[in-house]
Amino acid sequence: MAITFCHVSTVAHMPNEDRFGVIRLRGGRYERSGLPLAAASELARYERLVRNVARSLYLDDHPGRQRAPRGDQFDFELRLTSVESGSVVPVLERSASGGLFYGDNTEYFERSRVTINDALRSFNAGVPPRQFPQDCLDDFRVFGRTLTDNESFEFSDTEKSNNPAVLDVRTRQLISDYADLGYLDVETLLIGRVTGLRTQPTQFDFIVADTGKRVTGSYRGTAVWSQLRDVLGEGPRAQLAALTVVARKNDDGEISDISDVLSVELTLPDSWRARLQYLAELGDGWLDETSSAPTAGVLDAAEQVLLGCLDEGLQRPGIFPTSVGGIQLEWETATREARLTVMPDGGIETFWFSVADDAESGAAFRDDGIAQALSFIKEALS
Amino acid sequence: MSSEPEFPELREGEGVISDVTESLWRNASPAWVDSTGQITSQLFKAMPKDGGQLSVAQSRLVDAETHYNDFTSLGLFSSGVYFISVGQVLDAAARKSAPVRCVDDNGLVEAPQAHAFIDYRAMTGSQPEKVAGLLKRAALANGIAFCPPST
Repeated sequence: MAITFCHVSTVAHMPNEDRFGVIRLRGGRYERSGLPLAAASELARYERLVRNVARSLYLDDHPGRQRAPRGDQFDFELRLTSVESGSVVPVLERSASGGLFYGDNTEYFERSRVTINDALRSFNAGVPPRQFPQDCLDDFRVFGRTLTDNESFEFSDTEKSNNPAVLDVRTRQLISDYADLGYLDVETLLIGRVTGLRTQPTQFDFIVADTGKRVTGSYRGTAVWSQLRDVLGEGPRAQLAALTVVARKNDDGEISDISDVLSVELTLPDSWRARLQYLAELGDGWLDETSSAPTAGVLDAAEQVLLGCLDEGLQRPGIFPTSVGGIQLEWETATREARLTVMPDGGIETFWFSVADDAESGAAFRDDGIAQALSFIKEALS
Repeated sequence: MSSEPEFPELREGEGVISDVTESLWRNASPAWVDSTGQITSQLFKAMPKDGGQLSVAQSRLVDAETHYNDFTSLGLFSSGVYFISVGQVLDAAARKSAPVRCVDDNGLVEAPQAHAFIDYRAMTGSQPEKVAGLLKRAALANGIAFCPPST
């Protein structure tokens, strides 16, 4: 998919020469139809990067000035005027209302675009960029933070250019290394539990569900504080929440902390969550003197399975403890009964049978086989 | 050629219940009744400690409320009494080609009173699982026989 940016004074019919290079968004989400909403924030970051690099270039050329022209004199805006098919090709055009910078100085935006492209090529070649302004590294390193491993942005002068400048996760890591930050900001979804919340400083404590790693996060604004408070809980049985965050990854690719929270959502519907909470409060002997309560590990695994049920579009199962400390999920249709049992050791056992005839099937999975187990159940119920 | 199921011999004082209309009470642990009203098939599946004998009480000897009180007086928890008939037990087993019988052992078990058991001991493989699933359906269709006032 490719995007056309143009720098325009009005968004009427823009001549091709106002097209602001060619950006092609490739891989992952960008290979499907439509423009992912994440692209909007990335294009905004690109606009900011272009503007700030242009300012820096201007100041280099005008050493007597303390700052670039302000307001209309340095107005720069990119307009998304169309999205072309292929990979995502957004058509960006420059928008400027005239003034000092537009006209005599409009070259700075074009130079900025070229400088950014050259810097990307340098980073990817393993060579430090010669001309990239150091004071714009912060803008550079946040650009592309929604990229996943199989996605990239390509920047070309024209549609037929053969040597696009590429920004992908690897390039971002190289930029981060060059800036000597020791971390890489990424925008990502984290599932886990908020176990502490403070206002001074504005921080919260978070346990990542799949690794158990504890990280400290920062947030901004009372709205986010309120959302975090809603999911705040004590200890390991705090409600499981999905946080879209800007997280910092260290050189090992591990999340070291959370620098901002963009959204907070509970991950299970109320009745599902309440049922798990009920099971979490069971003690040994809940059925008879020999029965065991589900362990925290079993509860976590069951929660992951239920999250998978939502992803697979499966109806809410009956959620029950087993006498030996497992959790059994049960589905019933007019013709079939299906079970998925999280065993005390974390393994998963599945079984279904037909009410009407002799058909039946069962399978066992390891604790990392949730997706396969749910596929088994989904097929049984379809 | 099919062979006869190999049930253990009945003990002295035990007898097979032949009245297919007899209702068999079964207390449900609160944890085995989901907030959606669904009950688990485990309610009708003998646990390992049961040795293939699923405890029930007989309606001809005790009513559902009395059975609830007997059961909870033992320190056990119940959110109510469900029931299936002997005929439903035999039908469920027949549909899954599973050997089953309902055995009256009242008097041999100290408590609760009117004790009987559904005998799963001759079943093999997945038969107990499937029969339990069908009995769960039957119990839900029958409706709850006694629900304590507080639940």
